[in-house]
Amino acid sequence: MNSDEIISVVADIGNLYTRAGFTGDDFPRWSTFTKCTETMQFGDEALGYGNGQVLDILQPFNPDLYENLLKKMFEKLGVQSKDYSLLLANNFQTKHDLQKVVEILFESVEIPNFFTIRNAALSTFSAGRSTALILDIGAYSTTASAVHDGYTLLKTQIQAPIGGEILNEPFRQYVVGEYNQFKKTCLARDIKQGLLTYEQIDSTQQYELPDGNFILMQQAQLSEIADKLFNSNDNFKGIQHMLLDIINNSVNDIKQQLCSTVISTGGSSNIPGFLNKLQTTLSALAPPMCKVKLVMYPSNQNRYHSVFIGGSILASLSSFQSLWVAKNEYQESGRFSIIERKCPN
Amino acid sequence: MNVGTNVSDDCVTEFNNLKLGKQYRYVIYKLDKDKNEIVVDHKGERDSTYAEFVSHLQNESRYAVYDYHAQTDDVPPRQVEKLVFIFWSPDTNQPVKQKMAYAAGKEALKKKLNGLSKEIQANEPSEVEETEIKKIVLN
Repeated sequence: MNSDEIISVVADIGNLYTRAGFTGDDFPRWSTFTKCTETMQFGDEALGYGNGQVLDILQPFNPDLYENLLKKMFEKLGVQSKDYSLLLANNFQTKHDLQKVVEILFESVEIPNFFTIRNAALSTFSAGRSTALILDIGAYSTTASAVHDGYTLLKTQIQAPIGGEILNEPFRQYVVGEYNQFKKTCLARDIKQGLLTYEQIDSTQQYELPDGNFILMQQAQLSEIADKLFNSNDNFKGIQHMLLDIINNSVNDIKQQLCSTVISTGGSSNIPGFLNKLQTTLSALAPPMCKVKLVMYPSNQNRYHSVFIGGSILASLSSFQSLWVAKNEYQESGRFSIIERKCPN
Repeated sequence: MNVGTNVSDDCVTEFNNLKLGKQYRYVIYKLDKDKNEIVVDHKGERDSTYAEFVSHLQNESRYAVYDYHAQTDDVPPRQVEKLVFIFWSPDTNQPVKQKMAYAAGKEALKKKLNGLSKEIQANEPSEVEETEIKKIVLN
């Protein structure tokens, strides 16, 4: 890194996890839950061992808690918010929520410069592409988006209320002990991550619990749970169909490019055998002229942090520095309209 | 999304020499990291072969414009000439930052080159084989 390279802060504040760090880093230095206690404590210690309620900062969007999270973020990163530009990944459902956050950032947190860009575009950039079909399997929802030349095509974007967290449920029964709901979910999530697989290997999988006992589950049982991502029901088509819908609704020119640049991101993409299953399922259903090709990240870790990494690199490019929205620009030119103008989407 | 990467004047000049002056078969561009600018890397003579062009696409990303001529399968065959923009982004050991700088700089270059008919994004040698270009040009 050059000594004259300006460092900025990059944040990906998701519904379950928040990841923040600095440009140039390939790993977010601060990773926490997007939740806090009633007394504004953050982190799994406070959340898992407290007696009070655990509050969600997003879902629904809570501006006061969000402001606290932002301030905590700068504190944890060890820097003054006044001195650092912030690139925030845009996963906001409404313009209104984004508007509120920009206001908080400039007026209360007092950052000097701001930029925002869709999660899908950042995941695309971090795979070294500017055009891709992104499947982002989040905690509580899954979003499929087409990104073309860095622009996320919102018209064809599809979101479904199924995500990684729903796969925790069948493992809750194995969590015994006096824990609060948050901690129980964390433990169930751990078991899920230790057991879940799409691979047709041994017929029985085992997992050792902290107390030394073992859980034994049949392959068939695990497949049934894992298949929730692919099966359709009343309000969900299956991730493969989300991607297909976008492919079929896209103009012919980019159909083929999207098919040959499918990127799956989000922790659930790391379930053993998932990528193979996605490739096979999608290939079987794709239109004839489209050859389905999954693009891999250099490491599995990237799937948790692809949005952060994309932001880290994007905001470190010298050509990007002219794109920041400065505080005075925001204040002098009708506030939110400048964000809409300078941040494509 | 245009992140404002600079494009040297040379890039446009040589593009026009290809397009209008018919001096070259292809022009290859690269990103000059120090100057953060897209510059001309190679120019191929008018009688260059496609194989010569591809030999320049190695382990680092590149942009290219190729003036491709093809014949349709009609009777009698029609001559088709198209300017193809090729974004070469190999999945090799290139640092992610470099790969991304190229991906982000693409729009800035394309904006300056008027008259491009088709675009290919290629991440491995098979995607930039002559058969692929021919398919795109004839569609």
